[in-house]
Amino acid sequence: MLGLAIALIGAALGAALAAAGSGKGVGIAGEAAAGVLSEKPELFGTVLILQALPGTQGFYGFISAFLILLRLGILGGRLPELTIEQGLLVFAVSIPIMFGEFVSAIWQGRASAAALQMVAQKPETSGQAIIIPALVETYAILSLITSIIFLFYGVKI
Amino acid sequence: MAIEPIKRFWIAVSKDNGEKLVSLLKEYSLIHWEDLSPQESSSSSEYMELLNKIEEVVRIISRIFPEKKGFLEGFFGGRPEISREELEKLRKEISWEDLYKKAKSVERSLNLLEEKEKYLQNLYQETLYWEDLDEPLDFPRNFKRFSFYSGSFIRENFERFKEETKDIWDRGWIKYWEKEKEIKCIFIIPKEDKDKIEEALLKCKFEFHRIPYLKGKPKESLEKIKKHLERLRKDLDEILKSAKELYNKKSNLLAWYDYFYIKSQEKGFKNFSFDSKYFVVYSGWIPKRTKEKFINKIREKVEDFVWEERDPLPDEDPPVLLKNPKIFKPFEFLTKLYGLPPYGTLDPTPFTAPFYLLFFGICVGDFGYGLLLLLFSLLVKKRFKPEGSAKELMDLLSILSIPSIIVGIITWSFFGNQIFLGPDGKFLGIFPIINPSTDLIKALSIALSIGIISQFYALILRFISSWKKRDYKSALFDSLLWIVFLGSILLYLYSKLQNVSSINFIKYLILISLLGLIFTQGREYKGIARIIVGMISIYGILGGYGITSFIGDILSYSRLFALNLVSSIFGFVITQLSEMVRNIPFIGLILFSIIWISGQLLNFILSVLGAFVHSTRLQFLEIFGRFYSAGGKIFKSFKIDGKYFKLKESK
Repeated sequence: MLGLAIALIGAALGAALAAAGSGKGVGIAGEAAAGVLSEKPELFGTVLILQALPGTQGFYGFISAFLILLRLGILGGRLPELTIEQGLLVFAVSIPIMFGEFVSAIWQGRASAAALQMVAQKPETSGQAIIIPALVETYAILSLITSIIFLFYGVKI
Repeated sequence: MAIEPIKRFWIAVSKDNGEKLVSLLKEYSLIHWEDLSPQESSSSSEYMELLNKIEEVVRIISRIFPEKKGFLEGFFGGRPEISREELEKLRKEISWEDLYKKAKSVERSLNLLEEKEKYLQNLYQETLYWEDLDEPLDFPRNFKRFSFYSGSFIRENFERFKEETKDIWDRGWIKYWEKEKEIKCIFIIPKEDKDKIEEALLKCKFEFHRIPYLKGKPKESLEKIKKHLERLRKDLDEILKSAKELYNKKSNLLAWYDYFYIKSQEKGFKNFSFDSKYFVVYSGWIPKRTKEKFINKIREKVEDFVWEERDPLPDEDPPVLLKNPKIFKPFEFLTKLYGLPPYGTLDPTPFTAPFYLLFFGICVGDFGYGLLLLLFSLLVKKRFKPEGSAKELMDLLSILSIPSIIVGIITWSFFGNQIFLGPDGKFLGIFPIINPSTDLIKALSIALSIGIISQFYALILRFISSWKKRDYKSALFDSLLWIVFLGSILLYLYSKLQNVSSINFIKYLILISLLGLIFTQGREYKGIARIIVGMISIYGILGGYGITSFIGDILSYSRLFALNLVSSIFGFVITQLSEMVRNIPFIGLILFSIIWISGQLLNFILSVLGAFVHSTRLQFLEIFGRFYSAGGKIFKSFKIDGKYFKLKESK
């Protein structure tokens, strides 16, 4: 059971850290968003999008945890027997999620906050402003892809 | 399919024909006017004042009757459309000055009543606090030798207070009673004990509560205040009722606003002209194709005028008007987002639109979401009649829904699920599909192949646009050589992998292009530095391009695969979650539908948002970044229009 426990801790940590990062990122963007909205409530649409952008990492974490559970067959209703080595392999799958999603979400939040300042001063730049935080998200996506490839080609069960 | 060719023109008429000309010109919207007036055109302040006054009335009306706009309407809602005659009619029905006076008086009495109400409510609360006091409240509070206190303690603190001040009470007077764990008390002490008692009060956390000065006992006073408040509310209702009239005339008022708004625009337009003693001159930019029509139109109305025109000069920065066939028109939204091309260069819109379609289609990649997007955008267009960039965005989304549907069918994903999928992995047993969630490597390589193709495409576009700018060096060295170099490397790798012989020819191609790049990439430098810079540029640290940029760009396309996967997996997860609650008796089906619908909606919004953001990023960075530089001036067509109403084109 220790192997399975290690695997599940990995999956759970990935989802948890990604959600924590997204929470913080959306929060950082939210502080800036409230400031912009108090001055210019007509920008609600753009502001909402900019605030929501750092939220995707949480979903990536959730999806990776879900895929791990799927791969282990837990969603099918059975508890697989894993050796400790196999457990560690699954744990390794989650490492890109733990770091990549967590850190990128926070920084994306800060980029969003900066972009919000830009929109506040020049509303006509809202298109460009949305692209700025999206650049950070690239690395969240790369982390997710790495984890998925690891999961389906690196882990032998 | 490009940038509209335009001409600079001047038109001059004699002064007595000026008015006639102005009434013609301001109707004609496809012209970018240049300001010829020598002095800074002052904004017409006479109208500003009127506009501000009407705006104030509008503000008062919306304060009393806040208008609730739906979320989507606030986003996309356009102005109501109206003809000039209707606007005139609306305007003439009322006198805005009367409304202004009325609104002002309504606001004044409203403010007064609200202030009174606040005061009375406050008084009510204060009196309520001393409800148990069965005395008239008009007893004196100020004495020559005594100080008066009223307030409360927490019970424990009161004991302490009594303990600390027990030697005072034979000189003073206190009344207290307990209510809800609070000791309310009133006391009078000689002034010489003031310091001592205030220290004790601070220590025991005494809370001051004022006893309002009222004629009757608290209970009677409360009744009185209540009656007052009721009367006040009735008055308020009266005022609101009379304000209803204001509300009903809101659209008339807005018509007045637009009337002055249009006037001020017309005045502003007149300021564009250069006025000499006998002549009025206007100047601007007009598309070549509409020029003749425009001149004929003037000829009909004005007998005598002078027309001068010429092509833009090389060092001029003429405004840019894009012209694209209908299917590419919505993509101009993206080009404008990045920045317009300078006049005389390549308009990237039609060239990049196919790739954008592909990117977006793959990112959403779901039949259900694509269908939803189509319905949503059509519905918004029909229901809210959006204008300006909101309309452009909706047009774009309508078109983008089609590749989403197609990719959804090819990968067979319907709200993240794969219904009707046979055990052989074929849709309906006939149609073989690409399944990104099982064929991970295949899907990833498709995404990367798209990256390679679009990178070469971008380099070809760079060649074309440099050629068009007559920068032949850049076209040959910065585009063609790279295309040959990277292309032959890829061919070489491919032939190695497939064990195809006859790779010698390719080897030479690589070598020649490599040497060419080394000698040309550092062409701003001289001597040995030129070679060194050239070699570093191959790698990609210096210069605009390099192998690392190429690889980095291509890897960036892996997001297509990831986003496609995320949207279908999340849709699948939601179905799984909602299936879990389905078998709960009685409420199972309700819970199932709530979870499924709200979850799918959430995923729909996230997928579309992600698809838009990331496709735009790919286009802006990976494609535009390779060949396109913005910097064009927007063609601002001058159109006299209302702020609250959209004027119908007059025939």
